[in-house]
Amino acid sequence: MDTTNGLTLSRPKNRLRFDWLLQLFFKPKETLKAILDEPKPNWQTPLLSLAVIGIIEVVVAGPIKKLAIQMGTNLPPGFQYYSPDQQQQFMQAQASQTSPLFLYVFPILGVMLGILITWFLLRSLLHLSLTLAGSRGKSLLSGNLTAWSTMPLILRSIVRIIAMLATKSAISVKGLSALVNGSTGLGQFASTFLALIDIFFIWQVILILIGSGKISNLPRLKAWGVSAVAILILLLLETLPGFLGAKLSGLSFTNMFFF
Amino acid sequence: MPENFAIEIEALRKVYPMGDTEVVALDGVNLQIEKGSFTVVMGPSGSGKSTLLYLVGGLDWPTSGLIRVWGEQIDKLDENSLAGFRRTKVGFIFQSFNLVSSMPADENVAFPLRFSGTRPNARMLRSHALLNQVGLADRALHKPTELSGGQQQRVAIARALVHDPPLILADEPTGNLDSTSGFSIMQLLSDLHKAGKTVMVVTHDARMLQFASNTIYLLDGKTVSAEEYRNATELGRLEKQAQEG
Repeated sequence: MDTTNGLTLSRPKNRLRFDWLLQLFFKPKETLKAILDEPKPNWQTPLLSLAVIGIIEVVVAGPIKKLAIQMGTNLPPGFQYYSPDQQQQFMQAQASQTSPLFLYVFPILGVMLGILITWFLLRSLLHLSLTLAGSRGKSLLSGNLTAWSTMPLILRSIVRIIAMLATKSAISVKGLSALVNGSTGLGQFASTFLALIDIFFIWQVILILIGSGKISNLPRLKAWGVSAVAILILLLLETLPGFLGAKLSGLSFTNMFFF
Repeated sequence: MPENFAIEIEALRKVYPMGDTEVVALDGVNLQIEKGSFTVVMGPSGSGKSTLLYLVGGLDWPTSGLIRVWGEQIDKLDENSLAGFRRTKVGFIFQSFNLVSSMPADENVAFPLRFSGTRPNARMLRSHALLNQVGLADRALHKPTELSGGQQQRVAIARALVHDPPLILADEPTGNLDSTSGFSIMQLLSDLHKAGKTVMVVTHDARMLQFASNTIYLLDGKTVSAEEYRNATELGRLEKQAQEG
């Protein structure tokens, strides 16, 4: 078994490398190097971990959401201006969302699909932008990098789970969305956009930037620039469904993307 | 706008499209209502009085015309700005109370404070103080279904006061109440007026006139004089009958 800087570089029989999960938090540069030196797919471990923690988050949030619906703690602003009929209709619609289908099945499916779609989009955008900038790196490495860069999001989910268990309330204001007070037009778009940005996302971006230079062999600043463009495009794509949904129906969307 | 006006309305029109036709709810209304007044808006069903109240309260947009409330022109505000306006300037009281059936009285009163960043303990303190003010301290934990109509309307009044707005708008506040409960609600609104609030009430109930410092008559979407109103409506007929009797 070969070791470099104390990191295990040998390939186990299966593709799951849980030993890298913790190492990535403490020695990000060295671990990313080890991850990206591997010429085969190793993206399964982070995506599987993200899916498992995402499912745990949904399971923890389920009873809290159900209680919130039953207690009426998630009523919209201005609910007192609704007529009694409108109030009744809203309450009935809310009550129908307390079934396991809405509390667990759909959100879990959303988490799984979100992880896969977002990872696929980000790896494609990153590979495309790096290639357009002159890189001749393999798309496999973009896939590995974007998958392992999601590790901070596992930490985010753990923080959210702890917060939900401690406060017995669901996370309602995500990311930096509280900085913008807008429910229409540009304000709403900005709010949806900023909801995607938090310290864990910034951590993820840093990991992508560190790795992008290595997988592309481009000058560092050029690799950073095109990677940033790819991430920005992904953010805009993530913002659109939520924004359009809110515009069309006045209802907030469950994130179609996971991160 | 002179500073003593709470509400100023110019050439206000509200038209509702109904299929191929249009229903004119308000047709060129001009009004000025002073701060600290108790204004009663009288009019038969369909005269546009509730529409007028909803426009003044920022619950709907006019088709044309100008509405200025407490110095702020609200006819061009977007939904966000209107929400802010409603939160700070207006307390609404509805005929059917609009209480949340699953919440006890104290939570109903505190409900609007959820969206203004007030902490739960402070919300409850404010709520209980207001329930005490409207004489329902002992009903704070009762749900709407466990309260009489008059008590429900008192809860709704307490909720309207929760942000301490300068303007109270009431849409037929006694419409769903028996005579005695209705009169006590009128007295409660009068007390608010005496305490410095500007009150605007839309009603059919002529008993409300005794509390009014200002009366507006609406017919077919237009303001008319008291004389024109009496000639055209049941109120005039009843008054004539009383004089002859």
